[in-house]
Parts: sequence; structure tokens; C-alpha cells
Amino acid sequence: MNMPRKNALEWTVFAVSAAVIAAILATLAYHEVARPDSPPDLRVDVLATREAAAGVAVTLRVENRGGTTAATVAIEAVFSAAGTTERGQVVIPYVPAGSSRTGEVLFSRKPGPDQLRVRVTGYELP
Amino acid sequence: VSTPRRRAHSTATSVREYARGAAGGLLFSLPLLYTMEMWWAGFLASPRRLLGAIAGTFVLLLGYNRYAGMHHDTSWTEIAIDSVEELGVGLIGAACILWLLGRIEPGMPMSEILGRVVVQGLAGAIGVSIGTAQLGGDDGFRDRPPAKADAARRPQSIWSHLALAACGAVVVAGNVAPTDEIAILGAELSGWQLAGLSAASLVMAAVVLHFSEFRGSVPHGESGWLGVVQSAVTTYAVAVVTSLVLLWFFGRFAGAAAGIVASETIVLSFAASLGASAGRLLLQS
Repeated sequence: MNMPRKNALEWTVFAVSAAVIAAILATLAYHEVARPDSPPDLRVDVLATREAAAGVAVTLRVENRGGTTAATVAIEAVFSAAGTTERGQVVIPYVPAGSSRTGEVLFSRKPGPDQLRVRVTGYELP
Repeated sequence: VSTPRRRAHSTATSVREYARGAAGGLLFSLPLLYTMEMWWAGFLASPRRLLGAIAGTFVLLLGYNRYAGMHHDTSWTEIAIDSVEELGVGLIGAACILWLLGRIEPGMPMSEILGRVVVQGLAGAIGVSIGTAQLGGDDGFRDRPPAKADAARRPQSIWSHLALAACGAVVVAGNVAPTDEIAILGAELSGWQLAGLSAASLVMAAVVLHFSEFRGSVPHGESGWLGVVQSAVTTYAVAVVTSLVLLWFFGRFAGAAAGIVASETIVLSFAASLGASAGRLLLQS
């Protein structure tokens, strides 16, 4: 087999390309073996609370610890204090496997500790 | 038969070739870099599917580099090396543009970054390949026999026809395959409209192949209307298969009824048929 004649730059581009492709193939193969197609596994955390023009904004982060993407993730936040209940909700288009996304819900007053409950109410399996 | 280059390119010549490749990669894949469904495809596709897509694209690059224009006298080793380079340039280029567009960020998990880069990089690699062969002057091919002499003794094999038709189909249909519009059209079109669309695809392929008066458009040297019909049917068959593969990759068939699979395929095959006929002639010239 005759090896083609190439200059140093061309061999460098080839070597870098081959290394990048090999790394990508290896990582994909590892992901394929290591992470079976387990269903989405979502959890929501309250990150912060701040005053906003439209009320009190509560920042939520939803994290997917499962092996597949969840779509149209609906998150509900319920703020109950002194006999009154306020509900906030946010829908996040996609939470890919292993990734997290953030959103905010708005209330008229600042929720105290133990007065706010957040949960995922449902999602699509794309 | 392998006829390797008699001498290596100068560095300036190879820089020009890479610049042409990069320009081609951008030219053909920019619509996809700006398409939301393409970003999503990166994390919706399983690693297995991404691996399959890399393999499929590599075969397509091999076919294109083997049969497009001036490359046909080259050895398979050289073709494979060129294809690896084009794939690498496409992937690295896609990563840079996605980063500039804020679609990949340092905080993201590796699987999401990888998915986005691979999906866009594969589209980019095909563009790089076309750009290297088609854009700009012929300084990259100075050391090869003149194209005209080659064209006369170039074997018009069925493989060359199929490979270039598939490349043209992927380039044109790939721009619309990931979009939701295909699903909407597939769901809303009636049987008559779909029949009309497939007839139009066939007629378009026949007209393009016949009136382009391109010598190589008939695979087996058959002339007259029979040759045109034969060529149009082959071209449409390539378009249908390419559409099926593209739609499967973008996850359109999960849980879909057979009727939806068929109608989405017919909708995309119209675009793929244009690519397999007109696009092919552009790629080959």
C-alpha cells in the first residue's frame, strides 16, 4: 500500500481529527454501556428567592438523574400559610439525561421556610 | 489502481484547501446550526443512534470522495484519510460555532455537549467534503490528470450514481428532516395530496436528469425515455431510503403508525428527490 504524500500540516490535521473521532466513539460507546435506557428521574430544588416587579420570584432547579430525556416537564410550587394557598407553575421544554434546567415561579408574598412545597407533576417521554 | 500524489502540497495550498472546506461546511450546515430541533436531537438520540449516524456519515463521505469529480483516481487509503480529516474538521468546527452561539457551555454534562456536537458535526463534515471539492479554484488538483480526460474514461457505475444521489439527498433533505414541519405535513396531507407529491417527485427527478443533458445521469448507459424513467425511479428510490434513515435518526418513527411513517417519508422524499437529482449534478460537476 502506497502512503499518500502529505505535508506536516496535513498530517497534523489528520492526527487531530483521528484523535477527536476516536475520543468521541469511545465516549459514546462508554455511555451506551454504562448508562442503560433508564427512565427519567427528576428532582426539584429551591435555589433562591428574590423580589421582582411581578412579585416574589422563587428560582427552581430541576435535575434529571435518569438515563433518558424528559420533555414538557411540569413543576408545581404550592405556598400555603395562614389558611391561604398560592400556586405557581412552570413548564420546562426539555430536561436531558444528566442535565439540569432552571425556572422561576412567582408569589405575591415571600414564602417562609416550610411553607413552600415544590414537585414535578408530570412529563412527556419523547 | 492507486496513483498517489507525486509530491506533497505546499503548506499554503493545504491552508487554502482547509479554508475552502471550512467555508463549505458552514455554507451547507448553517441552516442546521440555527435550527432548534437540531440542538434537541443531540440529547434525544441515544449513544447507539449517534454511533450509527457517525458510521453512516463516514460511509457517505467515503462514497462522495470516491466518486465526486476529481477524486476517482485516488487510492482507498487516501480517500479514507480525507474522510477522517473532513469528519474531524466538521466536528471541531461545529463545536466552535455551537460554543459561539451559546448552545454548548462549560457547565453542561458531557453527554449533552457530545450529542449536540456530533449531530451538527456530521452535517458539517458533509459540507466540508463538498466545499473542498467544489469551492474555488483547482490548485488542489494540479498534480492530477486533467478532469476532462478523466471524465471520458470514468466508469459510470451504479455505485457512483447511488453514492452521489444519496449525498445530494442528504444535503438537501437534511435541512428540513429535523423540523416539526415534516410531522405536521405528514399528519395533515390527504392520500391524494401524498400521491401527487410522490408523482411530482418522480417527474421532477426525470425532468432534471433528462434536460440537464448530463452525460452521467443515466447509470447503465441506457438512452431515450426508458433510460430517463429508469434513472428517475432509481433516484426516487434513493430519496425514499435516505428519507427513511433521516427520519428514523430524528426519532420520528417512535410509536408512529405505519401510515404516518409512510406519509412523513413521502413528504421528505420530495426534498430528497430534488437533492438526489439536481443536487447530485451540482455535487458531481
